[in-house]
Amino acid sequence: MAKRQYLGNFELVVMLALIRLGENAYGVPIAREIEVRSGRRVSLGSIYATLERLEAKGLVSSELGEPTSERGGRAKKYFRISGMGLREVRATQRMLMKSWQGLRQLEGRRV
Amino acid sequence: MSTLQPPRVATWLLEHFQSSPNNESIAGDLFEEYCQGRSRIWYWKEVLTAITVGLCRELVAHPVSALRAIALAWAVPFMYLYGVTPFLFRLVKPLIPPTWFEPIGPLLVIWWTLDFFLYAATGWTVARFHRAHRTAMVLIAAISVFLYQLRGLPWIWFHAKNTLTNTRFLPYLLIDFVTLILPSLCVVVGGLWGAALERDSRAKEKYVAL
Repeated sequence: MAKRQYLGNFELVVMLALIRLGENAYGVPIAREIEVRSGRRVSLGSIYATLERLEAKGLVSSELGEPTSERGGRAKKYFRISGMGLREVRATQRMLMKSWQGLRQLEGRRV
Repeated sequence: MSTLQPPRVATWLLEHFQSSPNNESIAGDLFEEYCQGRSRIWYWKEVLTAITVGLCRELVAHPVSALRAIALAWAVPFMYLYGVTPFLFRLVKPLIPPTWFEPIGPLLVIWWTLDFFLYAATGWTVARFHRAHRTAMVLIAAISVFLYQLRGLPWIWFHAKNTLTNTRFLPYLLIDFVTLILPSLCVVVGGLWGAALERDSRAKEKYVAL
């Protein structure tokens, strides 16, 4: 049986941020979204490294915007989740839900 | 437009040592954030993290290339240090005036100059042999050379300890520091030099083609 490769923790967090941000997903808003949702400060370098990995797997696609003066004449790179990426997020969600079920130690507690 | 300028050295490091294809986007994002009030420390931290993350990713993705870069970085100096130098030294020793052997004397300057060219040539070679992952491989080679140079740490400790009581040891301590840093720095300089030469020749080719 072929092994299924689920998304890693940080990969999932980045994918969820991409889904929330929709059209406006580039480095800065992605970092802010992750910080707001998870309370974790993440570096832009690690976000881009994760996005490159996800893009190589075909889970994310990217598009270069126009260079702007607010960015020192550099272009934004917009990322978008692909159909395959969305399926992968759902599969990871299902797997996590299954793993959660029946754990009495975690029932009735707020994290 | 904001007149704020992020730290130039950090930006230069990011542009030259970040091995990600998204280099420009990262630089743009950092610029945007910096102009919105982030600190210089934050900027430096982000730049160093981006370089380190890029380096680790390349190391994991291309371990064979990394090993080859390390082997190249070690092979050339080893051949020089243990093959050429002893032979050359025996040959020219009778011609060298005794005063040249002082801690900071002409012989040391010649030695460091030779070292500079040798390690720069090593960096240049690594850059030429790893065009696809040049930045990361040159950095990996430089780090490996630096780690090898760390074998001189006991001497640094010995000379630093003795300098506190006797300033006679200060030149030795300085020599130790330069010996620790110079080789890896030269590998990086050589690697950048190789990259710049290649960029120039590509630009010339484009110009001729036009």
